[in-house]
Amino acid sequence: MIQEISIWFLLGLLILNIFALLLFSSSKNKKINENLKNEGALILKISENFKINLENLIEEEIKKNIAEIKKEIENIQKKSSDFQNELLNQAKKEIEEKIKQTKNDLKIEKEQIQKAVQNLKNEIEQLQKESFLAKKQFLIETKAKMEKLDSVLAKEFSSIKEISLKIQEHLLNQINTQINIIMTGVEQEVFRLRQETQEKIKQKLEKADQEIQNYRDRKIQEINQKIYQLLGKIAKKILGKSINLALHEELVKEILTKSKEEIFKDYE
Amino acid sequence: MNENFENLLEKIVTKEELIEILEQIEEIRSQIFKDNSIKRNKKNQARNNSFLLKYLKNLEFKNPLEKESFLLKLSENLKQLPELKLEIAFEAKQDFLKYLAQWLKEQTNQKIILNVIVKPEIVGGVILEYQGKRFDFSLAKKIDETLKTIL
Repeated sequence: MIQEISIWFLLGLLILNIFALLLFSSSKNKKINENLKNEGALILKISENFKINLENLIEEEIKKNIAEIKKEIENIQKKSSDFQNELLNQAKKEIEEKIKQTKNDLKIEKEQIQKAVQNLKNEIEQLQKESFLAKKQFLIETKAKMEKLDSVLAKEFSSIKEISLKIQEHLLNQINTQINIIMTGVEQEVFRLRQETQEKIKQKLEKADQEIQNYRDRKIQEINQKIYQLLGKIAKKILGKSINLALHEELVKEILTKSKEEIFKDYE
Repeated sequence: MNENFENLLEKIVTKEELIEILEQIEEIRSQIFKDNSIKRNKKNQARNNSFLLKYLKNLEFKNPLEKESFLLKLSENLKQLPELKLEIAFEAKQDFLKYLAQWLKEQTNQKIILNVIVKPEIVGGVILEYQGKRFDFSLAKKIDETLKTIL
């Protein structure tokens, strides 16, 4: 890659040189011509022949240069290839060394892992053994504890049952007592309400009686009034005339005169 | 009791009047030992002109105690007067009542107080009650008896 860049770089330089040479020669000619013109000198034109010869000359020169450049490029390529090979070899060596080192390391790691795995296997086996023993022991102990617990539970259950019965009995007594208290209260309240109701009914009855009595008195008075009117009419028919004040007085006087002996006989 | 007392009795015809007189006596008695400067109410002032005060003015008392004793005795005597209860069918006038009082005195030789009760339902006539005895001379009774015989 570097070699290619170098070749192309050199080729570029060469083309630039030629181009610069042509420009320089052209401008130089122009300048010279101008100077010469200014100095009043005589200017000669380049012939076609000369121009062709010059171009051929330049072409040969370029070919020579290209051949040299090719040679140079080949040399560079050769050198580059050697250097590349050398670098490759060196890298290969280093890689191989690294691989070797890595393989070695891996081997050591593998051994350590294998060792660790073995240790783990051993530990697992040991643990399994211990676990089995522990499980066995645990089962035995658990069974014993369960049996013991069953016994204790049976006792506790019996005790709880007994306490429960006592509590039940106590609660029933309490409930009965409370019910009795409530019932007494309710009875008293019912009695009070009944008394109140009876009192209210009594008051209403008394009021109703009073109203009836008032109504009856009023009606009796009305009836009496009608009776008096009727009696007045009857008296008028019997006596043949209506009773005025004078007649009333006369009647009283007459009665007293006629019956004075009967009334005052014991007191004369 | 003297002539003045007789005059006083003449003025009392009905039971209402007797009660009025007894109240006046009681009031006068209660005022005997009180300050005379105390203003009396309208009722008392009206009574100042009553025949009771005129009657008492004609009497001479040695001391307030004697006056009180006399008033007590007067009150007792008046309360013991015999009473004739008359049930009549009309509102009797004062003249008629005075006539009856005078007639009763002439017939019985004693003062009789009239307790007059107006009862229109007796129609006419009179129902008398004297010394616990009742005499029904009412027209209502007559009518009732007549109707019973007819029916």
